[in-house]
Amino acid sequence: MITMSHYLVFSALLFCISVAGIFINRKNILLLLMSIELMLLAVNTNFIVFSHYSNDITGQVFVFFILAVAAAESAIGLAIIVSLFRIRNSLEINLINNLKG
Amino acid sequence: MIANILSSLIWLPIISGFLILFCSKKVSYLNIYNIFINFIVFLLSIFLLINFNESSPEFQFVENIHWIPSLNIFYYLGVDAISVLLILLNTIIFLIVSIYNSTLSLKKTNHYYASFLIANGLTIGVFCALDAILFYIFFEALLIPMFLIIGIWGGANRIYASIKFFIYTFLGSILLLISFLYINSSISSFNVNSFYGANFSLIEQEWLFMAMAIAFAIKIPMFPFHTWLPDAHVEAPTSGSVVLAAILLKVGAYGFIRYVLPVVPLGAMSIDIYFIVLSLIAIVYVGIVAISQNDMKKLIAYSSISHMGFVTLGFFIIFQLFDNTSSAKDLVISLSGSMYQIISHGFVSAALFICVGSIYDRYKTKKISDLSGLLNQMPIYSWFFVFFALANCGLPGTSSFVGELLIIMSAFKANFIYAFLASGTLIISAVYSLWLVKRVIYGEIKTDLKENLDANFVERFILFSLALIVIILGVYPDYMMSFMNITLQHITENIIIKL
Amino acid sequence: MESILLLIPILLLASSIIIGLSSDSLNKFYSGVISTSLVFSSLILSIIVLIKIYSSNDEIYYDNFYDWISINGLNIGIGYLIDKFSSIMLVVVLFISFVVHVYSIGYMKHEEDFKRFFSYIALFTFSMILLVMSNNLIQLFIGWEGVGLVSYLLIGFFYKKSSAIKANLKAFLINRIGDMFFILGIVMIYSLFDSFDYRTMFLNLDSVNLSNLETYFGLNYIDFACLLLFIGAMAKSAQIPLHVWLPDSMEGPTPISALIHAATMVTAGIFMVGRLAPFYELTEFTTDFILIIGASTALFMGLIAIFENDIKKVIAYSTISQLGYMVSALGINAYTVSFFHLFTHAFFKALLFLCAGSVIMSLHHNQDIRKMGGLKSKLPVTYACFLIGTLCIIGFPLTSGFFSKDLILEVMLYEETTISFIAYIMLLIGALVTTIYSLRLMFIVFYGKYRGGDVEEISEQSNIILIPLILLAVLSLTSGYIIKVFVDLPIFMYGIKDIHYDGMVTYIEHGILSPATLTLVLGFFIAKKLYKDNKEFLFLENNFLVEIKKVIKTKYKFDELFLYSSDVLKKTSIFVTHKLDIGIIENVFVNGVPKKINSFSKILKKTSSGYLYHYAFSIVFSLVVIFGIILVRVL
Repeated sequence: MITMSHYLVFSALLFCISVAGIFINRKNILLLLMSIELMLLAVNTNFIVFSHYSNDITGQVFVFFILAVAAAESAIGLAIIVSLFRIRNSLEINLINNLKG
Repeated sequence: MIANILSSLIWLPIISGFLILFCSKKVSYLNIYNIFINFIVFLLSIFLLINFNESSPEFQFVENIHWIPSLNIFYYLGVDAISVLLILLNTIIFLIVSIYNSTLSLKKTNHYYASFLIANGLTIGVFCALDAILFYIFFEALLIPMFLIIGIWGGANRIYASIKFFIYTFLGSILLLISFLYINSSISSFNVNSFYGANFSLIEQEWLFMAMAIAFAIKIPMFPFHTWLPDAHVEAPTSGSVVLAAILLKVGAYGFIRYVLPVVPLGAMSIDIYFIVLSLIAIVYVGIVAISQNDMKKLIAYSSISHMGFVTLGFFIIFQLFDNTSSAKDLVISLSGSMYQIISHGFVSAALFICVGSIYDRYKTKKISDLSGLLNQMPIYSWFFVFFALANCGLPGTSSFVGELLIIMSAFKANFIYAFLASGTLIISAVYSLWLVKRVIYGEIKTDLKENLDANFVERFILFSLALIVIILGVYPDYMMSFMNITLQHITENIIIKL
Repeated sequence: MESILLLIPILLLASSIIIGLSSDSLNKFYSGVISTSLVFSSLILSIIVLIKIYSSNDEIYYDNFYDWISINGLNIGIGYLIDKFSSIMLVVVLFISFVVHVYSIGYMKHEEDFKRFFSYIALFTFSMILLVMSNNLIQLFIGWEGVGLVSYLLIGFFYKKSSAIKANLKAFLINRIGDMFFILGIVMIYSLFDSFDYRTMFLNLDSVNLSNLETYFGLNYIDFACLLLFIGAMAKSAQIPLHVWLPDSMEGPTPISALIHAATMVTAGIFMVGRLAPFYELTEFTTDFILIIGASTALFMGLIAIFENDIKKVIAYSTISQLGYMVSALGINAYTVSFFHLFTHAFFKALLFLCAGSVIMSLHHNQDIRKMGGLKSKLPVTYACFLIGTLCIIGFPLTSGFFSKDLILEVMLYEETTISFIAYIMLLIGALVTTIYSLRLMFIVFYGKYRGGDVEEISEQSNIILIPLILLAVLSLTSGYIIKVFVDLPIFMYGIKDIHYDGMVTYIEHGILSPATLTLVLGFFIAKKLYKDNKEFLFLENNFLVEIKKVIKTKYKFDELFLYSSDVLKKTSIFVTHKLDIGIIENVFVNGVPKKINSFSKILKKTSSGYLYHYAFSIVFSLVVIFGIILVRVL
């Protein structure tokens, strides 16, 4: 029997994978973006699970919103990355440390 | 007119200062306009002096308007005798400065004049604000024009000096604001009169005293908060130095007598010994430091600190006097001495800075080692210099003697050692003032400037009027003494009643 | 009466201001005449005052011109206290000033700053009058500092000479050392009586219980206050060790040396102690201190004069020595005796200085006595006057110095304490020394051969400087005969000191038969042998005496002491500026704190690496920690 906790553990694992992706990945910005998407998906899974078990459709509606926003966001993110690549000719994270104090 | 005289005194120069920013850049008009405004303000202050009733200890010419009622903040103005005298000092100095400025050629003249006009109004505001927050606002706003004057028209190292000046005094002001807010939180008022009536426990008073005393001690400045002053003076343009020495330092002293001593006397009493020691250090140690300065402005700046040490000594010995004699009249004498020293030092230091400024204009140097024998080239000017140097070392017959005498007198009644150290200034001030005269004025001429360099008409007029004031105050001190006597008695009563 | 008294200082002040501010169109001679006539009018007025005082019976004029400060609990006035004591002093000051004015018209005529000079001496006379007239300590102090100021300005009159501007700074600073103690003494007296006013103070003196007052360094209150006041007087009246400014002050023009540094200003200390006699009467330690200081000044400073080669400095040291005599008389509470010597000394010392000025002028500003000699026939009038001055100072019988100096020795002997006997011996040796140096000067300058070049061009310079000399010479000879006035002189609120005196004839007889005459004869022979006949005494080659001579020639190293201490002050100043003010306050605190903040922020800066994964890690890590803490607390 698959209970709610299985779903939750699954989404938590998904989340941890994406976080690990952010930490461990030091090569490519594109992978970073994908990890963020994965994070969102983990959250979405939670929404759907809770919505299903509490019989409230709102959560699932919200997932659509999130998906839409995430799509827009990744579109913008990709655009930024493209122009970044044009300027820098590389997507290496180690080289992008303009925030350094 | 009479009803709103204080507001006109404050806002006339400030508004004119903003207007002058839009004026044409033609210097001759600017000069006339600037001197005219300062002259009007001066006349107003004379008018204030004449109409002031010195036999009443109450605040006069009171204007009290709701400003931010929800926070208990009022636009509350009024003067007593010490404010009137300080306002008069202020308007005279600014009038003189405006006349002196007309002889200079500067960049952005209208901005320069505007800064001074605004500073003039703000200082008057400081001296007549009776609401703590209003006082604080004027007190703080005063920093802005001074910051600009030093930072824009100053010497080579002006940025460092102006930022140091600003941050140093600002640091103190924060403590002042916190104390005001604390007092307000317990009595729900920023009104000075309710401040006087407030009763705090000893521990509260000590903390409040420390906070406010540090704020004003930085402004005066007391040892060891004094190091901003020499830098600020050295970098400031001459007129800036004049205002700084003659007016700005007095704001700190005024703060002590208006907001510290009568409000938290118990706190002051319990730690007055530290402040007495600091004052004595200022008198002796800073005087000794002044001796070896090679920059004339620095020397006079240090001597200012040393003289202001007398003022604070006069303020803080009153508690020991109260312990020793418990008669109000000794306290009044001590405070009178301090007030006299404040006014007198205003004129003497202003004159000395103008003297040094004139030397700088001619020889392009302030270094003592570069100068010698000015008496050969500019005799009239030199005699003024000698006169003010002598006034600076407290020669009887000049105004500085009166204050120093009264404070040494009171110091003796408190403790022999205080009087002994304080009277050491007789030697030390003579050493730095007259050694300066010896090196700069006397001797053979060093430079090869041949043309006639003697004081021009404007300088003669300025120095002569300052000399006249210094002599009159020294020969006939009774007028000013009796003028402020009732007020000082009132303040003393306010202090004693809480002890 | 008040208007007369007010007019005296006003005329002098007016003279100073008019001459000082007059334009160049007023010529030198006329400005001198205006100034002199104003001083002369003051002199006449003061003589009127003197006559009025002496014609009335013990009347004292005492009032304020105006209130200097008058607030609750503090009343200081500018006023006058005219009794016999101060009226005599007034006349002396104004007379010497008048004489010097006349002399200066001749002496200073070639100076560029002629008018400045006259303005100064009028201002000086004004301050001195303020001091003498004073009826309270503050006015006294104002005058006291005023004369010091003018002395400062006049010593530095030749401001291009580096020695002159050093000397005037030194004079002012040493006087300031005295003034510091003086003002402390004043405030001590003030806080005892709550008044600066002489009359109030003296009236309340009886009601003060001295034993109840605080003591300072083992001295009782009044004793200590008087000691402080006397230290002020030591500086002004050039007593050891604060005498060092007076010889240097000879850098000023000669008339000034006569007026300020011989006759009037330096006697202000004597005058002050006389005024405060009721206090000094009560002191024990201080009077002994005064006696010792006075006697040692009289002796040791006289010794220096024997080896000095600058004509003005010889007279300066002799002035210090004579002041020592006056001070020692104060030390046995014989104020009027001291005042008598002040009175006669004013005339003959001014005379000596003005004669020296005449010599200097004739020799075109040569002051070195080794280049003088044989001037007797060339400058007959000056010589005669100088002779009279010398006779007076050595106390030749029947001259004024004889009366006054003998009186001091006499009362000293009558005092009959150990310390006064020692002082007596010192003063007696001092008298011998006085004779030697005075006659030495006389012999070297006026006898023998001229050693400075061509003798022919030397002659008396102008009549205008000879008139004052003759006037002073006459007074120097005669002023001693009014000894009775001084013996009977009452001092304000103190009365008449009982002095042993039985008539002129007895006094003269007694005086001639006293040991002082012996010193005179002995001194004459020594001086004649050494300096007129230029013989050597073999016993002077004795090792011990040579050593003493060396010590005296160093002037006991007092100058070095002051140079050293000013050096120490300068070095301290440089040291504290760099180490404390800049080193600690400025660098450690004012600039140090921002620097510390800066370096701390540099450490913090390392945490922001700019890498996203670092930031993300810190976010997650902090979240975990925070939730962990919450979890632990909840559980």
